[in-house]
Amino acid sequence: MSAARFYTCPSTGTKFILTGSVDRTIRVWQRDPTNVRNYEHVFTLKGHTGSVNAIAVSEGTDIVATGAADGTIRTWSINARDGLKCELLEEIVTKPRYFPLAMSLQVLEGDNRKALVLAVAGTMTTVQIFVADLFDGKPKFNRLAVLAGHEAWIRSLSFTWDKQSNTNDILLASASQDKYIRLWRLHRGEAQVPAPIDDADPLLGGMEPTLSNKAHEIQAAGAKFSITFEALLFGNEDWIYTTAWNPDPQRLQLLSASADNTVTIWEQDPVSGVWMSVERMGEISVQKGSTTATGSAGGFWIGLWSPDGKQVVSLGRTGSWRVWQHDADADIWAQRFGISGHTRSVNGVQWEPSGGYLLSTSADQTTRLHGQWRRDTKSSWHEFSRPQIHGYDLNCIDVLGPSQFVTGADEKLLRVFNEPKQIAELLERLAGFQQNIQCDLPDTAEIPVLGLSNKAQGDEAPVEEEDAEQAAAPSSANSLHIDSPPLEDQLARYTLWPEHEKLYGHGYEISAVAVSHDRSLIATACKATSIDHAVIRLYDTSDWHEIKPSLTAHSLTITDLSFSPDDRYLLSVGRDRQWAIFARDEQSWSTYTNWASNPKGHSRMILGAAWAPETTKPFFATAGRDKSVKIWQHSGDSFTCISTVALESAVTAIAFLPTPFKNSFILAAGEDSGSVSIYRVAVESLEAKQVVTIDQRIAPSRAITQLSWRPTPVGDVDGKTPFELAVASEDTSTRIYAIANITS
Amino acid sequence: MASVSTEYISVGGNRHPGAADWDVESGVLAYGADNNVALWEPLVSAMELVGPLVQLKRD
Repeated sequence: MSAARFYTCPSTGTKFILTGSVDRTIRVWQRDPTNVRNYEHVFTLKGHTGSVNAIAVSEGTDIVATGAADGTIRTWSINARDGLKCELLEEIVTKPRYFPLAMSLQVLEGDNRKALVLAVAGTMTTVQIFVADLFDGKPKFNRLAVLAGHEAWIRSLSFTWDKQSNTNDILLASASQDKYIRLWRLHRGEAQVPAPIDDADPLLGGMEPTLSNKAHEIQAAGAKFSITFEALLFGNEDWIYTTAWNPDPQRLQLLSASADNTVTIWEQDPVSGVWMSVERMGEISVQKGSTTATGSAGGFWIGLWSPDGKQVVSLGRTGSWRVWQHDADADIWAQRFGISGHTRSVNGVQWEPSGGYLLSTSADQTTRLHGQWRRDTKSSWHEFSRPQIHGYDLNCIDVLGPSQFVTGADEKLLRVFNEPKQIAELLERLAGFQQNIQCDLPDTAEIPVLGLSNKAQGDEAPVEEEDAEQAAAPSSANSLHIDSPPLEDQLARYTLWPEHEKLYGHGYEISAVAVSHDRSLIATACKATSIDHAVIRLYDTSDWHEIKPSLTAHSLTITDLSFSPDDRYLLSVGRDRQWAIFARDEQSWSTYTNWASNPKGHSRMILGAAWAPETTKPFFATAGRDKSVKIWQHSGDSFTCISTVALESAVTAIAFLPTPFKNSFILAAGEDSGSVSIYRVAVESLEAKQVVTIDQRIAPSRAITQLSWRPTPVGDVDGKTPFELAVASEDTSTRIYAIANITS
Repeated sequence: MASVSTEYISVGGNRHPGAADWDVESGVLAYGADNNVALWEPLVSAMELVGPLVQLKRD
């Protein structure tokens, strides 16, 4: 989704959201009258033949405008008076051809008539002004003026009423990749003599931007208007992406967000009339490494005002929203915690062994720690630490204990990380998560700038050096003595876990990892197209050496690995449709040998495997691309398929609740469609009965990559507290669902 | 009857300048999150009730 605007139908007051997407459509979502956070998709506006980049709405009109990468602007009417009616009004082909990236719409009042003024700009240096008179027929937009001055593409346009003049003037802000914002005045009447521009003005600091006094005269709503250049706002050091006017009717302030990692509030000096920046918030970073870990925040892409103008938020490259709140007494803007999340497919999710926190790992090259902030009787979930900021897409994760985890990425090795004491203290203080804080927990790690700027030469990823950096700067160590969840600025750099060990051996990108329940072994697999590479490599966690020989069975990539509850068996499944079981040697705990396999476990590749919490007569479930879940039970010297469940689409993830519950086993299955369903597996017959499927409206929209049930202390499994299921999806979301009344 | 509710959603915003809007009337901020629309109420978290709540809709 690339564009979004809230829209209110003027005749009925019905609230909508309009969203534009790279799929070339604009979706209309109507608000549920009983819930401000519930919207239903009611219509799709089709017609554009390129990604939709801009949507413009205005109070007081049911006409909206959209701009797309097909070089056209389309206007639509959306009216809810007699049932929802959405109609295409006009298609305007840009001349000369350019891609609209920014648009703003405003109602103009004449004496007896109204008009609409539409400003459009994008991959050109000029702003085009279109006007349509509003009368009985279809409004038609005519291009009446072209505003020149910027020296690069324009990314944002915003109209506002000039709240400080009493002439009903309209101001237009245009922001460009030339690092300037220009203000233009739309004034009703004869062309105003614009203020003379003094080239020797010291504030310009000797710069020579184009400053033209030209007045554009246009006719609209039966009256004369003029558009003149009003002011130049300068000070940003990089492209400006968004502008927004303060909604507070008493204040004329502009908020801009820039690639230079700041959001700026601009205001007109009451005495001199000069527009100046009155506040700049964000990261002023001197270092320019390649990830946030070395100082590169990546720019602020969006800046927005709160409805009362007392908070501003900005979106950064890590996908996080930062929040600043204005403290009226001290007259400062202070940063508060915001929200955050992955920006690419979430490929793995695992709970800390006692359920104390949740780890997620993603193709956005970060691993994130989510915890529950508890205070008084309230609790809410937040990101508390970003243990890993990597240079490769992360594929899988497993936990080695309450303060250690291992991840595998699109590189040939796996990495083991240790929890720093600052994070353990933070979690204890805010999440009530007690750990035995041993004295030998390390400090948070840092990555030196040079560690990232070298491109990988051989196998080694460029990101490393974390293991060498144990001595954290005192300022970053103390910065986590906070009483609320960390700010994005802290998460982005100061919550790294030092790398403890690297596990070498595989020849290709890591595809799966599983830690034995007794935490003595790590089983790993990599992408493979031949038997030699599709092996399982085991590592001994006491000395981190590989246990040889590696385990052979598969001929294509292993997609999932799972140890049975007593670690007696190791199960592997893969793209070759096979499942294989290796049994632990009774004399040698680190030796596993081939025990059984089924070369055609499913009719298509097997994507998930999970053991049930049962040791007397063990059984496991497999998830196949053939849209089925199969349950296999120990029988003789192999496992046979006892029951099969058919699902709607390819099954991509499965997980058993770690303890039996009320004489049955609870199984969660995730599909390629994003659907997640819960089953009860009867103890004797192993028949699976569907309990519930997560409502499509709250389920992920793309394939589920991993499911993980939150471990609960055994005594608590009484059916009253809901079970919690963590879900990782390709739609970049990490979610926790509470499932109650499973067996009633 | 089993019931399912969402306790937590963590999802990052799409890096596209036009992909978010903060509604003056309801206080809800809508932002693009991959192919979904995330609805966040920043001010609710400021009042420290249940924490910021996010609902996602398919795009």
